[in-house]
Amino acid sequence: METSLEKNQTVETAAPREPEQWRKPSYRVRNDAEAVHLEVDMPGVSKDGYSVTLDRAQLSIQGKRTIERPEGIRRHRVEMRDYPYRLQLQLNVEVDGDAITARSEQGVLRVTLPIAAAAKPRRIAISD
Amino acid sequence: MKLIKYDNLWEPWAELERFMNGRESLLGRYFGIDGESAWAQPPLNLYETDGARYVEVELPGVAREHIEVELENAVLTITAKRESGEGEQKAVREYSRAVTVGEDIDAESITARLKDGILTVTLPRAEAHKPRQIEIK
Repeated sequence: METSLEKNQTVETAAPREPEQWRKPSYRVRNDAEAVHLEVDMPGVSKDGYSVTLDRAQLSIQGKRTIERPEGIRRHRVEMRDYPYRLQLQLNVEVDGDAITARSEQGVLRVTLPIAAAAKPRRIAISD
Repeated sequence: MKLIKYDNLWEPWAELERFMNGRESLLGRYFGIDGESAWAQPPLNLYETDGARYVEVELPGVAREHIEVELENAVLTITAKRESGEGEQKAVREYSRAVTVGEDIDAESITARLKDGILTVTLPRAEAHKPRQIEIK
């Protein structure tokens, strides 16, 4: 069975005065017969800085970076900013929303989305 | 009279650094796609206080034992290996980044900390190089 996640255009909220700054994290998707496994790189986000929400077929993942730094620092080179991460994915397979699990380790969030029973492939017995 | 050794203390060898990092970034651009084994250049932040310099590198999913931090001739090199997947899907991704940190570092007191996929290397300045407040009499 093939399932895939399609990128979805980020929906901007009404008339923002300044464009909101955020970062799209890199991610990987893998699936088997039972579930879709999503791995999102969000370095700098601690365990309680994540939010995962599913609204119908839209999966939203956000992460807030909290990095401890000494006071009064002078920045010399900034290649990564502390913008919040935001990822929105459109699921094209029905998942069991109540059974979604997520865990984070070393700045990587792993989300398991079990495929709903109704969406699993079924072998149809052929009668004579 | 001003005595300025470098325009920018952080990047006296910026060209050399670009050259050294160039190989990795070029390879990374073509082969650094997920699932491939190749060098990639992780992004970094550099900042300082009066007492120390700091190098912050993004290394998500990298285990502590797979990170090496080395200082040689005022150049800090960070290499790391990220392993993901199992069995046939196993993939190894290697990261390397070199940055000039200056010569006024107390090499014995360098510390590194890994938290939530961010490596922070603290490079305390050697006592003799710390800015001093001159008392006006």
